[in-house]
Amino acid sequence: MDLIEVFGRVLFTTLVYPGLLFLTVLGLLSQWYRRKLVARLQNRVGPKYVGPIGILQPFADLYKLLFVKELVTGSYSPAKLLVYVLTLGIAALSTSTIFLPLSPFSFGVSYDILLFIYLTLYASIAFAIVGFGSVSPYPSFGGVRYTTMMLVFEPAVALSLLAMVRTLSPYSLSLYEALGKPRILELNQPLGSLVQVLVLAVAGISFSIAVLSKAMMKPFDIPEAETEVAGGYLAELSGPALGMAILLHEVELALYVLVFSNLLIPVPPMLPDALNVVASLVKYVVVLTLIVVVAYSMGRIRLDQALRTLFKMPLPLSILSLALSFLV
Amino acid sequence: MDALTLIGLLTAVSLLVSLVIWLPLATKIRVRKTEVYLSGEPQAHFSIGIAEISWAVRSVLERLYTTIINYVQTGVFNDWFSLSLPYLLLLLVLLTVAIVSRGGV
Repeated sequence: MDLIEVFGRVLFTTLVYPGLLFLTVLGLLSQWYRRKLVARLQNRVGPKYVGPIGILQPFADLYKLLFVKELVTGSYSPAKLLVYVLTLGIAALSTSTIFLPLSPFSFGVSYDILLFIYLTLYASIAFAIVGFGSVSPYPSFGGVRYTTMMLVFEPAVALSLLAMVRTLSPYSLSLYEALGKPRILELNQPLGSLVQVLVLAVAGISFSIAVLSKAMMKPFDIPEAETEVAGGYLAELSGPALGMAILLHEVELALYVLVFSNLLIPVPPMLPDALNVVASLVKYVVVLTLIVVVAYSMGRIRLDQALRTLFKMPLPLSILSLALSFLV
Repeated sequence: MDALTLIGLLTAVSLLVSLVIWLPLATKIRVRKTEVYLSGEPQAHFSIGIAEISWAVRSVLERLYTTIINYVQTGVFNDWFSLSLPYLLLLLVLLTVAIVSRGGV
C-alpha cells in the first residue's frame, strides 16, 4: 500500500465506519440502553418521549446541547479551546478504529496495539485538561481526582490489553489480527488452551475494573461526584462543551467495550463478513449489560478506597496476565 | 509502511478530523461569560491575579529565596566573590577539559 491509499483508507474509517459516525451512533444508542437498564434496576421508567421507547433521547439531547444551547463560561476560561480539546479526543478515538476489522478498509500492522494505546490515551488527557481548564475549584478537584486515578488505571488498561492481544496474536502483537483472525488453541493442546483461557479471564477482570474507573462509572465516579464537587470536571461545562464531553465519554466507553468484548470472546472469522459484524455487536451488548449491571449495583467509594482497590486488583492482575501470556 | 510514518499519519489524521468537526461548530457557538459557580461565594475570594504570581513563586521557593537573599545581599563584594568562586573554578575546569579534548588551542 502506498501512502495515498493508506491516507484514503484511514480518512474513510476515521470519519465514517467504524470511526466517527459509527462510534457516535453506537455510543448514543448504548447511552440509551444504559439509561433504560439502570432505570429499570432502580424502578424508574427512563428515557421515554423522543422516538419509540425513548431510543432517540440521547440524539435529541446532543443536538440541543451542540446547536441550540449557548456556552456559559467563567470569565477566564478559553471556552472554544475547551471544545477543541474534547473534539481532539473524539477524533483520536475515531482514528484508532482503523485497527478494528469491521470494515474492508481497515488494516493492521505488527505491534499496532501500541498505536491503539497511544491514540486512545488522548481521551483521558482531554478529560484531565477540561478539569484543569477552569478557574473554579470544582472542576479542578475533578481533574485532580481523575489524574490521580489515571496513574493506576492507565497502566492496568494498557497491560491487560497487551496480555489479551499477546495471547491471541503472539507473533505480530496486532490488534487487527487478534480481533479478526485470533489464534485460538485447539483441545489437542490442553495445557496451552487452558493458559489461554486463564490469560483472557485474568486480563478480562483487570480490564473491566480499570475501564470502570477510566469511564468514571460507579463505583469510580469520583471525578464527577455531584453531591460532593457539584459535578466535578463537568461543573463549569454547558452547551456545546457539555455536549462534546458527553459524546467523548460515550464514544470512549463504546470503543473500549467493543474491543474488550471481541478480545474476551474470540471467534474464528465467519463467512459472509456481515456475520462477523453481527457477532461483534451481540458480544458488545452482552458485555455492556454485564458491566452496567455490576457497576450500578454499587455505590460511590472515596478516592483513597478507589486507589486502594485499583492497586490491589487490576494492576497486579494485569501484570500477572501479561506474565502468563508468555506461557502460551 | 514503517511504524514512524504510520504514527505520523494517524496523528495528522486525528488533528485533521478534529479540525473538521471543530471549525463548523466553533463558528456557531454562542459564548456568554459569567462568574464562576462557587456556591454563591464571590469569585474574588478564590482567584489569584496574574500580578500576584511572584507571591506564589516566593511562597513555594521561600526557603531558597530567603537563603539566597541573606547570603548574597550583604553589601560586601567579597561575599559575592566567595559565592561565585566555585562556579568560576568549574568553568575553568570545563574550559581546560574542552581545550585538552580538542588537542590544544
